[in-house]
Amino acid sequence: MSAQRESIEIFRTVPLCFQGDMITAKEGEPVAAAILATHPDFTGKSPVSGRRRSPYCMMGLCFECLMEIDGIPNQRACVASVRMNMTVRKQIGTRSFSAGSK
Amino acid sequence: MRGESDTCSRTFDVLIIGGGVVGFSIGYGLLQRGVSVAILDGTDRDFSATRGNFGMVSVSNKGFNNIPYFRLSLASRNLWPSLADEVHDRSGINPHFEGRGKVYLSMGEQELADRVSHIQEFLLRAGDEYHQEILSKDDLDHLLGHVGLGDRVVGGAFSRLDGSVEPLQFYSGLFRAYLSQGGHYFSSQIVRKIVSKNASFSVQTPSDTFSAPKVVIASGLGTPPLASQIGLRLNVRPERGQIMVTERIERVFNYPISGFLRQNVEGTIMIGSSSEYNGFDDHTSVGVLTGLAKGAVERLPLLRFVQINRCWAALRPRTDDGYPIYQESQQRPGAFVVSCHSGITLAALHARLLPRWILDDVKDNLLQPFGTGRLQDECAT
Repeated sequence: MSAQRESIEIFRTVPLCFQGDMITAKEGEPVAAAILATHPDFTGKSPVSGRRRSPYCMMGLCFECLMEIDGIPNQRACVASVRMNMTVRKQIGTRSFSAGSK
Repeated sequence: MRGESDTCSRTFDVLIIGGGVVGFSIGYGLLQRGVSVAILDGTDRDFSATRGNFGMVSVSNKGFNNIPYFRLSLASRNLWPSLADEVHDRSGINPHFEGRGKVYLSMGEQELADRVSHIQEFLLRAGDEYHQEILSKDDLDHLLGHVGLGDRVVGGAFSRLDGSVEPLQFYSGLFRAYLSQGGHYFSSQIVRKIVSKNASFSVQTPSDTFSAPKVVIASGLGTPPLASQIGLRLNVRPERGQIMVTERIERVFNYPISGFLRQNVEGTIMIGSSSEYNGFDDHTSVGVLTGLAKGAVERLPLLRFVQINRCWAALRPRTDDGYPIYQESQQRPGAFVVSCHSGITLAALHARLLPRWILDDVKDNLLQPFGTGRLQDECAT
């Protein structure tokens, strides 16, 4: 257990921009974990029900943690690893997809 | 879902073996006649086309070589709106039936020329009831909502005869509507034996025995061994289909695209569907999925930027000639087999026309060509 703790300690602390706020995160940890640790609030709204959602299964299956990461919508934040200077936003509803855009 | 566990009342008017969309459509229809119905279902591990299908109500590509099959499919499509409304009302679940039509995209001039002659021949064979019209690439793009068509698309066609449904919502809505009408449902009931005695059937599973004067076998791939117990010989082969589904995005195209693409009301896009004969293997394969993805992007280049969320495969129950089977046993009158691979398209017809056949022995003319006799004839020649 102490070995595991030490391995986490060696991760670099990096800045991450969430909803315009600068937070600090550990490089390599799940984006969802970094956001849960600093913003215990909803991270998106369901395109079906409109209800607020936040990370749940933390292993890539439930799709509750969808966020926009570095401009790409509908990313599972629990399986995306933190890198230097990421920009993350809440995923509010359906991904808009006007023809010709990406 | 475990069904009822009461052991005293195991006698019904009709037993249906198979709790897929075919069994529930028939069961739901029978309940409208005021009879008592029990559906005996297998387990969640069974092969289930009901849970894996693409959700098309397909008519314009059915029965080119068998016009009665076209007519059967068209009759069902025409019954669909009222069934969809009823299921919605009685279950609170909207199956999202859309009967506005379907688009065909032709890749290259040869495919387009083939389509033109195919439509002409289909019209000759089927008459005025048939509809499919050739459209230019521009007209198709306009119809689809300016999604943008790939370079290799040279044109295509539109048929107003087709439609689509959200297959899982339809299934759960049908399930609930069936229960709300007083239908009985028992899960984890693997039928071992069907015994007939004094104008009644006794259906045995490892844990229970059920009885009724009528039995309907609608067990998909599990049908042949059960049918043989009532004296009917037939084959049902597993035909594997693979499907991918994307992330949810805003509506980008307005009509299903035959054979390939459909956008659900909630925003996911289904990409399908393949056809392979590979025994009872229901795994996906990278080669087939890659082909599906390439085909989709060739048609709608915008999809290049859409993420795939899930892939799966399911097995269609395929009869020898690919057409449905509606057959009552001659050895054991009161026992019926229903088998088809288009359980969604034919759901409305099953709910509306099969009860008279099962209860009153009145087999609608539409169903007449689809007995097992045709298969035996073929074997003989």
